[in-house]
Amino acid sequence: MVRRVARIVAAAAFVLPLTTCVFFLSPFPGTLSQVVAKADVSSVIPASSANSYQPYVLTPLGGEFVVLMNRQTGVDPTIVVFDSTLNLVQAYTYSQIASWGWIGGSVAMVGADQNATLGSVAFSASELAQVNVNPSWTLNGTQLYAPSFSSPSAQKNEANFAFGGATPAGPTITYQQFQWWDSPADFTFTVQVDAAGNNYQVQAVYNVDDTPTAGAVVLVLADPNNQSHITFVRVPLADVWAAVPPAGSLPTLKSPLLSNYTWKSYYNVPASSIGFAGDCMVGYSESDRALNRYSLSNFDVIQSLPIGKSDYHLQYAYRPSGGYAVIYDPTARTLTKVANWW
Amino acid sequence: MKPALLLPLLAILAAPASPVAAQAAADTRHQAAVFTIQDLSAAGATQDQSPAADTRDYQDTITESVSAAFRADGYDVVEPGRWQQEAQRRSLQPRALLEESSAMEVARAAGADIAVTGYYAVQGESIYVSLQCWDVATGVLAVGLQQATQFNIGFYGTLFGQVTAMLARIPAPEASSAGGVAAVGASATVGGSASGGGSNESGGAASASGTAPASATGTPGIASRPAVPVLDTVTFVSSDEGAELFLAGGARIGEVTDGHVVWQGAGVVPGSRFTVEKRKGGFHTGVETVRAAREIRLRGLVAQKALALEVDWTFGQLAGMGATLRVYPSPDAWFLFLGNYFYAQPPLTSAGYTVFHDDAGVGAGSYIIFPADSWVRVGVSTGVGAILTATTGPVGTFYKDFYWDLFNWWIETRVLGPVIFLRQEVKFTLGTGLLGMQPMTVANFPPFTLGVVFRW
Repeated sequence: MVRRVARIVAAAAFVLPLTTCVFFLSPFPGTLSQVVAKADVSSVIPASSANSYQPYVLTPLGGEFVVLMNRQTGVDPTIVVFDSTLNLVQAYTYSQIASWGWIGGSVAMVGADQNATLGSVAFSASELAQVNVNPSWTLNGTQLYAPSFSSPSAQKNEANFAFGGATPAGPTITYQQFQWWDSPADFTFTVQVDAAGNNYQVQAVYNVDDTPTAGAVVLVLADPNNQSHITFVRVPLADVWAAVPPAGSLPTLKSPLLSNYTWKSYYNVPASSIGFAGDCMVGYSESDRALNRYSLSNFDVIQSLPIGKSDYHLQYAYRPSGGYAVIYDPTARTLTKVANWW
Repeated sequence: MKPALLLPLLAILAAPASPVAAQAAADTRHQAAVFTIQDLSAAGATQDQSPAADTRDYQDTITESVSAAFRADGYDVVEPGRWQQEAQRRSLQPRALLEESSAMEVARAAGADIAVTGYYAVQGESIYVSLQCWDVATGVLAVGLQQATQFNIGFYGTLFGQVTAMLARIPAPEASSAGGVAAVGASATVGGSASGGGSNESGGAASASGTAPASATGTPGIASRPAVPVLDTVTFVSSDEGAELFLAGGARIGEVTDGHVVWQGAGVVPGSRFTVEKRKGGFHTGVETVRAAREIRLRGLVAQKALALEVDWTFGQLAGMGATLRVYPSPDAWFLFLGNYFYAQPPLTSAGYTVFHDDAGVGAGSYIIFPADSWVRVGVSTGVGAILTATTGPVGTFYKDFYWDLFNWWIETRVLGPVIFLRQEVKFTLGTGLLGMQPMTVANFPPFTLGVVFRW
């Protein structure tokens, strides 16, 4: 008996160290243990239009919100606002925000003015935290319709940018610089993406740090024929933005982009899963069934978390300054806040 | 399994014991015509008088085995070509030589003093052999041999030994020039059975004719017999007291008493391989192939188990442990199981919270390769189950994931003492909880389970 026990202990001593590296692996989503808040939004979001909502994490000065925006104009609710612990603050109907000058817009972000801009209206943090309070501003006949960026902390950029591809996609992309949302574009530039003239769509753009002189902007481009074929491009902030553009020497991106800047493409990574999480890009790999962290310098995968589920429809939003992500499940109509897994 | 051909071995056995003995015997050797021992098996006894393919292969080997015994006893065996030529000259088919008058005529023409006729019949794992040894000069049956035994690896050695023993009871024949071989009675018997089958010698027609037994002639054999290179006695040593030993196929050797069994009259060639079965109530029948030696130590039998408890750890669920009860309707063959595995999913960072899972399942499994006493076995199983999940922290939620345990296979070994197994599990979750309708994977691979099985 003693010999048997000794043999078992010896075998276990040999095998168990081999397994320690995978101790944290699980058949269940790795994010399950990182859940810090969860909301059932089925009472707010109708099943018929659940797939048309996009989650955002917004941090206007003095507040932090999770927002679901409907990409379809005129469908209620148009905007649903939650606090950072996913408590429902308010669901805005289309008629309600239309009365405030809403003309549409499918993108939400915090601008250089540190307000939360939703489509074509802008709320301060205090306005967004209250029910039935008018937004302070509208975009004066314009709308936030294209991927745009400001500083992660929304404190340093004096201007905002909007990028757009050819409509709906093309071999060149345009970008515009605004002093304010409600001002006309100060500058408009056009640049070709690759030398071969392939078509691209601009899926997102992120100013990934707060250092204008050495900082960089990451473009997320998608293949218009395959939204799970994405390309990261890193361009110096100095090539795309100037705090005080000198006359006659406007910053311009070098064309074509992929011949002049660091880039990397991935397949089976839905564009809707890409986000900037403060210190990395994050995306969901369908082929790996894992969340991947991508380096901001060369876009290599620096960490991977298998989540064990083929949920291509999940949508992710990351807090730009890091800390957590919000996962919107349009099938279950749930909103889940998960702490960073790295 | 039928014995392999042993012609090379028999050729060695047929060699005289020493050059001196061979030379001494050369001058007085007598001629024996060993006719082909005919296959009269049911399959072989077809109307066209040609043996069937599955048993006729032994015809030459058995004939050569008999011839080898004659040579070893000092006889010159007439070249088959000689008597075959005489038979053809008389238009006699080989089977016609079973008739005494034909055999005597052909043997005499071939210059033999002794004619050996005979036949065999194979039925299942048994073989019956009948030999007749005729004095050509007088046409009297000198001695005969009938043997029914298991047809296994020990058969040829046994046959060799029994023919040799039979020859020892033939009265010393005078040289062919001196008028032939004296007839002998049929009272000679061979002690012991090499393989437990019925075996005896009889005088046949000689006995009926009332001739005197060989010993009565007081005449020594024509040459001293060389030592037969077979083991007459083999002792099996076994820890399974009360177990019965059999040769493969069923011939009983004996019962283990005081840790051993003595196999008298084994008649096996040292170093040759043969297979024994070990049978004991409450234990799996053990089949073991051994090398013939004076003492053979047998492996222990494996007790039949009707219940087992496995303790296991699954890749991807290492912060926990599982236990599964197996109930075997057929001992160590197939089983029904009821299992449970409780484990924790630790948080990935300090910001997370532990999640607990409990996996309960039922199903059935079966071994598919190798018997119960093998060092290694392989099996498959299937079943159904459910995984209950509870999250902790600010969001306490409860989930149920039902699954189909589609296909599991495992390999197990008892090389280290206890039974240790490694199992790959292909579970298909049904989309009722956290996991979708998909194969359950860990890092994109089906989970592996390592475990220990305790049986009783």
